[in-house]
Amino acid sequence: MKVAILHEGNSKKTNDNALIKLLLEDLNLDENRVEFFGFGPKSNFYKTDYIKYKNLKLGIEEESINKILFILDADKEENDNTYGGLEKTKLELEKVIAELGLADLSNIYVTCDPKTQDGYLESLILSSIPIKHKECIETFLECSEFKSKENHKSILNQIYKRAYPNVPFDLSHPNFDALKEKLHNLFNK
Amino acid sequence: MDEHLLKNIQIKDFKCFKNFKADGFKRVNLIGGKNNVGKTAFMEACYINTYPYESTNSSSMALSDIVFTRYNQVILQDLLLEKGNLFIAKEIEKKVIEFNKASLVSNIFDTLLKYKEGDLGLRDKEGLVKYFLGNNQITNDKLEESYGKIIELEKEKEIDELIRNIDSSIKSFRIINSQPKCNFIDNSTFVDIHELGDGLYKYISILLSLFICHDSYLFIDEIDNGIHYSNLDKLWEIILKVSREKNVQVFATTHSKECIESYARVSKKFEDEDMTYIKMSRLEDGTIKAGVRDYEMFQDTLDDEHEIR
Repeated sequence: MKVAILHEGNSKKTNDNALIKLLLEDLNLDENRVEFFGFGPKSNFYKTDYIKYKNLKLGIEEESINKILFILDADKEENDNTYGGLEKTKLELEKVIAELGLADLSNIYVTCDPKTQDGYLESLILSSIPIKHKECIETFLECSEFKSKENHKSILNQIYKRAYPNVPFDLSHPNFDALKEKLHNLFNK
Repeated sequence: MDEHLLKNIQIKDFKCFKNFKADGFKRVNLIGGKNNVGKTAFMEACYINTYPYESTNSSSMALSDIVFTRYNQVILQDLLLEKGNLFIAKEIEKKVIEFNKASLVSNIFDTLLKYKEGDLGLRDKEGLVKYFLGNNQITNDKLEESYGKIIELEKEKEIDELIRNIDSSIKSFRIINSQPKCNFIDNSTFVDIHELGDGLYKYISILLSLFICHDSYLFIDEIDNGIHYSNLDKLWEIILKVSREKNVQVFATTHSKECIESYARVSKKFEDEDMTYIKMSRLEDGTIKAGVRDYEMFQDTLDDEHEIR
């Protein structure tokens, strides 16, 4: 029996689930047991008739999938009144999960900076580096003309890679513990 | 145009099926799944179901046809005695036919006397021909009969052209002295196609059957058996193209990931959404589930690289 991880972006594009795959490896969890569902933009998680949900439900009916972990960005409340911020992201998603009848099998992890409780996967990664470096990068982004979220995300990725070329992510950082726990639970019977 | 298409089925107490329902079938349907989950049995039930209800004779002929393709008479008798009644309904909650055990057995044995080999094509009351191509090769007799109909339809050149899609060196296909033969563009001597490999023979069997089964049905067990993976796209191109032109509903089974991927690739290339992929699974409680994926679901599953077999 497999488990499903539903995440933003494309299931085949490495950036979108690279951290999850590294964490699985770090935790010694078998990646081959995971079916990744690349949901594209966050808004797709809130469409109950989305094609990925149809395939997910069929996989459950066929008894090939028995647990689900939703991983999506918190984003910022000021940018999105409906689904922005940690609480709203979770609350609205729980409604969707209940409507789909998947509550018993599902768990949610919202990626954000644990301190501010907003942002995205990159904010979580950034939260794991020394505060001085983090502030430096944030100041750079604020001063720059790169205003859009997507620009920020890719720039953050690049800066992170250049600043820490030998360690893609500091997986031992406590800020990853919550996600690690969710992954562990996903694999538990 | 496509009124005859089988869109759903309910199967009760037939082989591995106790109380089974599936719907959403389209013009072309590929069936996958592990061993012993009832892929061929499902297709057999669909095949029987394409026969008119009014005549249990006709339906039992269909049953004998497919059973004879796979089993010998003794097993057939045991199977029927063990199972007792057979119920099949074309549309869920619509018409259910109960076959009388004794008459069914008797009809089957009458039918068996008429046919000596498997892979039969039977003509029902409406005059439609439907073929069930078993895992074993279609016989030369059957191929000859099919080619006779191609000649009646004056489609020999079209068939030659389609065969060249698979092997561009072939000039033409003919039945000479009851033997299927091909000659070549650079050599006019006809050669027995058995000498050219199983793949070509299978391809020609499927091709001729598609033409013969116009406005009807074609069932192909283990479609990719004997076909080299590099020719799978060409095979699916022919099936999708000819089945649309000739209005044939196709059901086929496979175990091969390459065959499934080829089916997805070609249907995407042709933008042919009149297709499904049906994954058969045996659930923990022993029941069998048919997961019918339409075009969009099927493409999405493969895009995400999920296990589909």
